[in-house]
Amino acid sequence: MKWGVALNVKERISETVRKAKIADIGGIDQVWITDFPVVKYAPAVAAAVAEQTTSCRIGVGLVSPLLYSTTQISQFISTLSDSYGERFDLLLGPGDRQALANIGISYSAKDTVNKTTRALEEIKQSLSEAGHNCNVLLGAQGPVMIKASLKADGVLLNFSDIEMINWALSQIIDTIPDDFQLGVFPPTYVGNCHDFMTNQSISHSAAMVALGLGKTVSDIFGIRGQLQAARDLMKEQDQINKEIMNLLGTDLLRRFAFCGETDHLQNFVKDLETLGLTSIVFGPPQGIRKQGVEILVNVKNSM
Amino acid sequence: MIEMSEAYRVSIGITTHMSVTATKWIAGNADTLGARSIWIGEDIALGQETFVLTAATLLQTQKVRVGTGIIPVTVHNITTLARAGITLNEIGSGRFAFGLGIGGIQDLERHEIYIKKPVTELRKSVNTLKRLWAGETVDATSEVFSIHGFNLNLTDPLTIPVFLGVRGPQMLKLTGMIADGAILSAPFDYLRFAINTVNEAAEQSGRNRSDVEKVVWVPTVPTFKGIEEKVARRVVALVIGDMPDAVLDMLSVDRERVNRIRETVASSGPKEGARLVDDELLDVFSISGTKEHMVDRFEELAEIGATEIVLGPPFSGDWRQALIEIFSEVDSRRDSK
Repeated sequence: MKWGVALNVKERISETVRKAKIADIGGIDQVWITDFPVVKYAPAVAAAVAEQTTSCRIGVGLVSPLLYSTTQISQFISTLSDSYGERFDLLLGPGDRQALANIGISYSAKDTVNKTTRALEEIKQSLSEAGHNCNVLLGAQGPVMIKASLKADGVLLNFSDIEMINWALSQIIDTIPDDFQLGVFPPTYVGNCHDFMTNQSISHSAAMVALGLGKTVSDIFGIRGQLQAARDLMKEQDQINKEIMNLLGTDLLRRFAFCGETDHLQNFVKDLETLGLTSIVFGPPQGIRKQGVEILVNVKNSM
Repeated sequence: MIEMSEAYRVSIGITTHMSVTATKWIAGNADTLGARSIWIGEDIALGQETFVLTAATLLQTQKVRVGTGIIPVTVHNITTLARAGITLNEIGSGRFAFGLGIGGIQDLERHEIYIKKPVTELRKSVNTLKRLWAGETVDATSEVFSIHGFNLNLTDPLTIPVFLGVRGPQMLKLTGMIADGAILSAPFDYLRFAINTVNEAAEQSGRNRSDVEKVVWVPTVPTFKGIEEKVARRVVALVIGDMPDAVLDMLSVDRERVNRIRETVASSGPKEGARLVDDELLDVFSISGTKEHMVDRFEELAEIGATEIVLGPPFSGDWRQALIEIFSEVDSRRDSK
């Protein structure tokens, strides 16, 4: 199982670089430099990380082809690779619909999928023609994007719950190509999780993923009504607050994040391996925490 | 290294279309050469990605200022520009300067971008960026962007120097009013007018003329180190192709020939247009010749108010040695003063 951690969420670039160095030395396979709606421009931060690390791969993403042209995305991966070596991977996905709408980017659901999959193919071709060893992955949650990911080098599923991961795998399991990277990208908090709701850093991250879940998947897992009520309230109040969190409830939110102690994480990773997954990227808030990367290094090295 | 005189500084210009090897060499040597800045021009959709190249250049240097020169506001989402600005400012610890412009007419048309009111567009873009960097939550719209309730989650306001790459009179006035610097690329006769216009606009808006740096970036062609003139002619053809009528009207050049070059560049590209660039036009639109002659012309530029002069591109022939010798020539003259 390859381990990755998402950085560049809130911290200063010097802090991102510090954590990336800990990951690099500690044997974490990959650091992911997140992009919009995060404020820092990920490809430039990736250059700063590459200057100070030697072994770990550096992922850029999630990057939205609705925000950047396919040419620009191919260009920044090419420039990074030419400048710092063939260590870069790319995670594509449409991105947060509301955040994009706020900056003047709106597409229908159908156009979003079409534009993303077309960008995936163009970028893969462009990087391949330039001779770059870059894995282009697709971030996916709904059935259409999960199936579209077969055109990529791999998929990072936006799920944490084993039942949901199993369902996602069932969408493609018979057609997965050789060397395809199957991974998950759950909001993560390694530590005491007895009071999940008061740990806002993880419960808020879980709520963001839950509220982004499509209708098809919500129906399959019987949570559409609960999610819709929270979404309606979110439209009125324009932000995730305590009221929305309470409406979603602890049991549902826990399904959209990994939150637990070290031994729990070890068991979770083993479960994922049993399902055939090959990578896990620990999403926020783990990478935001001051000691978050050290904790992951210790867990990985103890397995 | 001798402290350069306050009259003008010399910088190096690179473009995204250059190889990583070439841009790395320049970044690796700029501090030692004594360059004031490295300016990075974006060839839209060509070569290296402009923000990564700028980040890499900042990371490879310690003293030199690194600026974009320029990035067209019309080809990037305004929030991407704002985000890239704060990222590069942080990477460079204050050595970053954001050079912006509307973009070359030919380039934009090739990408099917048509702006009805370029001066308004640039003003709105700069205003929006400054508000975002000041920490405001912004609602703003223009011909090319529309943002609602967007902010950069800044805890402290940032001041990022904004330089505008401009030519026309209205753009020059805008620069004098709102920018920290002008990046100017035009023949000498026009530069005199441009610098005066920027200075007057600065003073009319209650600023000092020294508040606005005047960076002159014209093609430099050091023929003493084997640069091929055909390369220079191609660059000059491109420059002429993008030159507004307002600039050309002020020059005593063969206007018929200039018009033919513009038409040829538009229809068949700069390589074909280069065939029509004669020695006179090469001299009007570029700084070429021996290092002594080139530095003479730098001094002429300084006399008309340029505060910084950018060397290159085109980089051809033994351009590395040419750069070293030109910087050395500038230094030796300052030594002797």
